[in-house]
Amino acid sequence: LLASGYFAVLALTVAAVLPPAIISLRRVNERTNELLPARASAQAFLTHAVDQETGERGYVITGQSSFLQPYVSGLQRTRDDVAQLERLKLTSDERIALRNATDALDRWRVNGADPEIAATRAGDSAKARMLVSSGAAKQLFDEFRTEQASLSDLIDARARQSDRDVHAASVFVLAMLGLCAVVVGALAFIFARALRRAAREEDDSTRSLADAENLQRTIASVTSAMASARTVSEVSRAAVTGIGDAVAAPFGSVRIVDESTGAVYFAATYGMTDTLNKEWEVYSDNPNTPVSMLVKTRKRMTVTKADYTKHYPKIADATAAAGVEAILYVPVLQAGDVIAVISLGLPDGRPAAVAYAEATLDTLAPIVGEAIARAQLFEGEQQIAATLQNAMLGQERTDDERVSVAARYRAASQDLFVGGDWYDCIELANDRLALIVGDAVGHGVEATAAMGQLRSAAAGLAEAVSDPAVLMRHLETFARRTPAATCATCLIVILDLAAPRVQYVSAGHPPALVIDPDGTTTFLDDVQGPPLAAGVIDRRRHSGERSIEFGTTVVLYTDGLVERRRESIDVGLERLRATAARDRAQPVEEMCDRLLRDLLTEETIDDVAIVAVRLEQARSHRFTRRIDSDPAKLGPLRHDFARWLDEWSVPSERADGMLVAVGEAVANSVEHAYPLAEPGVVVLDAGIDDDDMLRVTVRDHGTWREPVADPMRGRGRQLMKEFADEFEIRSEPVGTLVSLSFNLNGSTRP
Amino acid sequence: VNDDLVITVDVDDDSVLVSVRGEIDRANAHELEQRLNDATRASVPRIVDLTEVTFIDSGGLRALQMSAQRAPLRIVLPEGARIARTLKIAGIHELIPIFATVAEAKEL
Repeated sequence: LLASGYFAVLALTVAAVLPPAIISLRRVNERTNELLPARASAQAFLTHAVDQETGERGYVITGQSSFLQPYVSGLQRTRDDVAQLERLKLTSDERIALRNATDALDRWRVNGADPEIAATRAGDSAKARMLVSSGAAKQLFDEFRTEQASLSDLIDARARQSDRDVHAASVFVLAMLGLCAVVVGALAFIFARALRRAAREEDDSTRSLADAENLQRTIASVTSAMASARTVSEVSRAAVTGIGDAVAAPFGSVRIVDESTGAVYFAATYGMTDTLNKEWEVYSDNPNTPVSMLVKTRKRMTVTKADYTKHYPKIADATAAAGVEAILYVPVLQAGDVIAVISLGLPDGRPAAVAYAEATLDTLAPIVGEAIARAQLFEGEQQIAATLQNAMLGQERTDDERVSVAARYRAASQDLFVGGDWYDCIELANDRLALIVGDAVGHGVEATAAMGQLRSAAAGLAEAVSDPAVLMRHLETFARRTPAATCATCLIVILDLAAPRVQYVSAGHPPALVIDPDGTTTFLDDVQGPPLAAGVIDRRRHSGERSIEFGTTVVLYTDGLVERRRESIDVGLERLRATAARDRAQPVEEMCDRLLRDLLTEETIDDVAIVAVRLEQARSHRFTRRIDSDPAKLGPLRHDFARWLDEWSVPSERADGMLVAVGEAVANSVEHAYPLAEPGVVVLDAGIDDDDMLRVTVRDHGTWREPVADPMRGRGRQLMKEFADEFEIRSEPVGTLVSLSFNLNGSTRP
Repeated sequence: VNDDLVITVDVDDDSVLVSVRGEIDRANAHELEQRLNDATRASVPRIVDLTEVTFIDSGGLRALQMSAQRAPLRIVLPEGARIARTLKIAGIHELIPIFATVAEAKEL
């Protein structure tokens, strides 16, 4: 298009220039071929006529015939001149003027010159002189002169006009040529620019093609990295390191934002020094931090070096040290809400580099958003599953002081997989207590739900049946209708306090361990049946039975407690037997803790449940209470405990100190272990040993994810330390355990 | 709220006397603190008599301390009182002056 336009303009210019140029050339030609000869001939015509007239007068005056010669030859010459002029192209005016001049000359010759010559030749000098003096000839010649002059004037005028035409045409042609040159130049300039731009665009498209390829690679690698991440922080880490690599960012972070609460926290960072992390805290209250502005605008922003040097000088030093020229903040949106903010320190602050980083982030932010939302959902589900399981566990309560029961559950070491282990303790009529431990196959919400169903079924059926084998058969029927419960294992132990004895049945579950007070240990492994609903219908489930004595402990557990990789289960069972025998004198709460402590390793990946039950002496050496995490329960518990201490005749001044110390332990659990919205349970377990030590444990099952690190600070801790003879606080995987011991020094025996 | 705690306030020309009987724990500590704060009078000493208190935990101690930070407070607590050891361990005497009798507390 440009080229055709170029040629069109050129053609128009040529068309405009050509006619005047031709005119000009023709005029020049005309001047050379006609006007100059015409002027010369007209001049010669005059000269020859003048010669003629001069010769004629000389003859008339002198009478010498030699003077007549110019007249005679002039006659011929003037005729030649006229003929010459007539051959040339003359205008009509010029022709008229030429004829007039010729006629005038003829008139002079006929009426002027010839009579005088005739008179002279005839020797009539008087007549000749009379003719001359009459001036007739002279007058006629003057008339000729006039006519000739007008001819010359016409020719001259034409010549001048021609000159003017040539000049005008030349000027026009020159002007047009100049214009043409300007247009051509301008077009050439435009054309060159267009060419340059086209070349640049091609360049750009080559580069953007490379950028697009890089972006595709980044998307692929980040997406696949995020796909294998489950938690929010894993996803965030995969995202920020992947994108950071792609734009060569020395540091980066992902902040998780909760718009409803305004909470912001770092889910993942890399390359950020402590200074950088800490210094941002300095600005976290500032409503104009990039992050808070971003939450408002929902648009990405790039903070340049100049910006943060001005507004956040402390960051400026740290970013400069990291080699960062600009920081890019990009909101991650989900359903219109900002759920996260990705920030990257860019090593190159130039517009092109920033634009590339921005484009990369623009493309990836929605993908990251999906992944984070998915991870949040996953964590939410895990939390639901864990909450479900937590709610289903912990039923180790019994008000019967002839037995003490303790139970523990430890989640799998990959704490995000909620297992299917469960336990329950059901008080039955006729002084009986059913203890059940089970392990549903699989993990997650489904396994938890199956476990809940089995547990509910067991609790509902336990009261109606007397033989644990019958209970197990009912459970099996139930499991057959509940796909997620298929192949679950289960162990039921019924403790008959009156006999006293245990009845038990196992469906593919590791056997219960009985520890007698003298240290004798027995695995109840004589009635092992297949797991629930595992293919063959086994209606032959039978229960076993064994008598027990006061002080005997029965331990039920799931396989996580005894199984280790690359080790026979017999080794694990033997380890359990030895550990339980060693700790048989400990309160069951402490015994459970020691089992967890000594039998589990870093490698334990499965979840673990333990239930320990002990037939206590008839007299209550023990005081066990479970209270809700409500400060109003502190007083009644304290009074109960005071009465128990009084039964044992603990001196009141000593008892006062115990009440303070134990009260602090319970109060701390009540206050710190549970969020306000989720009240939990605090367990107080006190027992008097044979060596006259009062041992008290206070336990909470506080927040399952983050055990309170050390809530017992300050005054409460000080009081416990002073009043108790031994004092220890342990953070457990689930909750906190406070142990207090008081030496009674024989003062209690009545 | 808690029957275990009885608080009475006596105002006379030269003092405000808050007498406490029963048990002070986290459940009712805020009540004590509120009553103590309400009993504050300019230019008259404020005295809290803890002689009849049979139990106090760190929540109760904190209530005393918080109230004493708002306005001067004097504690009456004889040597042999049941909560004497608790206050001593907690170092309350370093924060709030303790007198054996109400008369002594008024005197100063």
